[in-house]
Amino acid sequence: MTHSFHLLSKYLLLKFPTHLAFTLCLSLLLLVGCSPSEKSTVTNESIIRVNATCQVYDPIRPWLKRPPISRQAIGTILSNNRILVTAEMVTNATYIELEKPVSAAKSSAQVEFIDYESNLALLKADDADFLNKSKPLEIDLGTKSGDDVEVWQLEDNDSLARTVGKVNTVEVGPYPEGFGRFLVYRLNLSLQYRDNAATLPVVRNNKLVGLLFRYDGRNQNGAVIAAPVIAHFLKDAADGAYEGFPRIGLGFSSLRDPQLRSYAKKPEDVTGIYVNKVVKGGPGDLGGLQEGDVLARVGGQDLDPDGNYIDPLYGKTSLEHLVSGKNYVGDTLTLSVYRDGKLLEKKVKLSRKNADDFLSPPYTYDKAPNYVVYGGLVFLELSRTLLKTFGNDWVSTAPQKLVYIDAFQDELYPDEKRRIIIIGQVLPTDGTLSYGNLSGSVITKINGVEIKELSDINKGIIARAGGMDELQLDDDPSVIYLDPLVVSMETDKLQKDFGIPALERLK
Amino acid sequence: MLNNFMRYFTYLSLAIIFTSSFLSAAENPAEIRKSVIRITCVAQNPDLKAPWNPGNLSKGRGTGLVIAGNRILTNAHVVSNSRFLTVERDGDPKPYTAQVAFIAHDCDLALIEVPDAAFFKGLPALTFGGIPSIDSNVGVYGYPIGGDRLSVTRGVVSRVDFQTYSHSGIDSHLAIQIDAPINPGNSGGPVMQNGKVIGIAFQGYSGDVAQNVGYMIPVPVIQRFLKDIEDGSYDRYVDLALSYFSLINPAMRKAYGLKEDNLGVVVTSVVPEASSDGYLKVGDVLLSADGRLIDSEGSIELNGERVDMPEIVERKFKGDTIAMKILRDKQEMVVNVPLKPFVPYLMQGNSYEMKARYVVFGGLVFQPLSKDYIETYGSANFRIRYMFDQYVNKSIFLERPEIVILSDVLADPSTTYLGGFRQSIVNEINGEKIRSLQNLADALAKPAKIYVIKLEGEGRPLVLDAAITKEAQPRISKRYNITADSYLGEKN
Repeated sequence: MTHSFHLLSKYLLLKFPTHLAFTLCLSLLLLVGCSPSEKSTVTNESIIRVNATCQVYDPIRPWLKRPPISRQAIGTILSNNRILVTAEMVTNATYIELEKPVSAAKSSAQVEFIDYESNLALLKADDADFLNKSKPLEIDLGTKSGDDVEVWQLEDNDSLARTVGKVNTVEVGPYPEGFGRFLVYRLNLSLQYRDNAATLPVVRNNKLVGLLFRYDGRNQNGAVIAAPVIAHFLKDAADGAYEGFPRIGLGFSSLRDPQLRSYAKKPEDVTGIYVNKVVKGGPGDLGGLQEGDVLARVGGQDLDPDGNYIDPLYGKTSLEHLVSGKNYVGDTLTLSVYRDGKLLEKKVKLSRKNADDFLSPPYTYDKAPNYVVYGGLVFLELSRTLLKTFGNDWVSTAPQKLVYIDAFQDELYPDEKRRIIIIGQVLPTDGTLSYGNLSGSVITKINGVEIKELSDINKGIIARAGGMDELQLDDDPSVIYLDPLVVSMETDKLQKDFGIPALERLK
Repeated sequence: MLNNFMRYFTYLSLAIIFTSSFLSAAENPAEIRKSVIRITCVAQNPDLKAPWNPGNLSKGRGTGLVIAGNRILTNAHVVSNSRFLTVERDGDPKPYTAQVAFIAHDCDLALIEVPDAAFFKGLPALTFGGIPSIDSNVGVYGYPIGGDRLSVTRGVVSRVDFQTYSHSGIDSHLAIQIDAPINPGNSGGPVMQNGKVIGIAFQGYSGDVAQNVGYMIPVPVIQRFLKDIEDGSYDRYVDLALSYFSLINPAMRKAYGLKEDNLGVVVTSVVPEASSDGYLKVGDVLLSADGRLIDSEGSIELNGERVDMPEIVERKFKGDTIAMKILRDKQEMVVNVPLKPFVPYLMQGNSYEMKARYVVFGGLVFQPLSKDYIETYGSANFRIRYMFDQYVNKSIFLERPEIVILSDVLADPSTTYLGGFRQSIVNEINGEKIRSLQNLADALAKPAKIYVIKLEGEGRPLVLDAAITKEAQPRISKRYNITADSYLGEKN
């Protein structure tokens, strides 16, 4: 169990930005002085053990799956027979099992909704009556800095263990996926882990206020997914169609530099931020925002030069919570900008870009990767998940051209809806002699047909006008050839030798 | 092309040797030793972190050999960036002042002159042999670490091959591998066979990577250098400036209409504005060069050895042509390509004999991108690293003869909010594209109320108020001890 959590820890650490001092110690049982915990058998009916078996596809040989790993969490029972856990817990889960404390009754469960960006997942028991006798928790939104909260766990004997911590700060911070920033409660917490559980409910006055998703034993800090984020997630899921946390689609920098301020013609009595990027086709772009605008007010709230507004409960808070945490996809926000010194009111309709709609998706989970195998060449879609297979330092060790395309996809392909198809692997066969170094190359055309999607590969093969298959690459050599006769002769052996059940998966 | 093992090459300027005793009948060490010279060089290397400073001094020792015309031949890396050079001959305690007459950084060779002609009295000039055969015996003469007097080590010729010359790091030429121990201090010294110089010892693997793997610069490279400088200046190697791919894959051979005769390589890229541009095309199959057949791995036969095809180009000079027989669209034809040196790739190699070039404006320090820049500041910045790596491949050099970087922001009240712009590539100043350091200096010299500097990847511009900057400049120069606001010097 400990071993599997080491895997989980490292995997999570990959995605976690370094600006926080959190180190992952989930697998260590820390014998630090722990706060007194009351043992009560009453409220453990609000939580449940969740065991997930997770298995990820091998990104380079996507017809294979990597060995399964197990994860455990304490799930929180919510109204309507739902269980709340973190997304990390059930990402790529193939089998989820619920286990009631004390009775040890079990039921399998399914993921109903999952949001990788805010790290939340809602489960539903396959046995419809399974949670009938439970006591679901309500959500409380009122927690603020200075409040005491409890982190709940189950002892070995299944009684409830409650550890008290204090909310130190409430602020917008990065979440494990590293894609999007949301509200976090930062706790002073002295926690002794039982049972290697990953997600732990955080409770106040018997109401759910968050999920603990990181704990640093050395510094005694905990990071908690804050209640408003959970409430947003649940409200969004309530209508059956989950849309996610919306964005405006802009990049900004602070406007403290007096030289920049006067260049941007910001009026003296106004504070705001400098818009230095407007994502093409995004809500801000469609709403009329431009680079160089000074954004002073969002949704009725004034902004300070660093992009914070004053929240009634949390004080100075980043505008990311104002936009993403308090609004939904489809809502309209009014933005006040100063352009050339003149005030303009812009109405922006919020939306969210799905990970799949990116040229190189920032994450790909819970789906079998697409691929095409032809003539010993394995063609894959570029994604950040693929790049991360090169390890923690993938930014330096993955093929640099691909890292570049992924990092600057907005600038390189601003208007196109497409994928970047690469040769992921060159399987050694007679037909691929001397092509061994070409893995990582981007394929641009086959037999004259442009390759913008994996399915274009088949189109290209069909378009062959006799003779050899000509493959154009964005590399050196820029053109290679395959002999279709050799390809068809070798296919059976290829499939047999490398364990490839099907030559393509296109979804 | 950079070699993977680059970082294991060490300069031969420190370490220990054992001499063995296996004399060749025609070689007389007592005679040879007279012409093997000890060179001591004090070099001054620019400090790119404080480019206004004169640079750090370093002292090194190497070896040279006397050749016809009262000249001493040695390695470029022994005497590069030299500030003070002395030479000593065997048995004479007096050091003589010397000067670098010619230096070739692309093949690590240099010629030294000694103003005091008395130095050469009684020193016979050594003469050159040819390319030695594998397993023949050689003797290395020099002043390596392990003592102060002349040393001799012996071994055999192990291999004749193309290798990267680590002095520049971006040039590859013929290099002969020997197993005679050669160590730091041997650099520039002669390798002898039958009384003739068959190479100059210059680099090797460090002992923990590979043993007894040392390299010498062979005679063809030396003779090319000596011929090149006959007109009074070193013009550098010419280059076909193209890349090619082996035609080993049967499907590729069929596609190009080639027989199964293991001949030919295919051109995969042609560098714009360089030698082959306009003469050879991507897709041309190279069949022979100056009449010598090219095999499917890119080798030709020269002097009984199989060497990389570029070796033919290696023997040529600016203005020469090379007759390439090619297959284009399945038609055979001969294309005569006039050859010239290729300059833009120099940015990616080590540079020498140049003071650090820079511009300081207010508290902003601007420097051109180069290999030395990357080595000084590190390559953590992805955009900079990408531009550096792809400078030639993606023809970035066409739009940017120099890539100018805002390398540092010196702390001062006028630059309080500008620290985040460090390590950014400069694109534009007040609407003008910045394609070189000189461009930048000119743009900042134009009078204006504000300077709007646009940097690659930064949506927000760096805005400088001219009056504030003008007021800050002398204060900053004094505080940071900046002696001159810029050095635009001579580009290579």
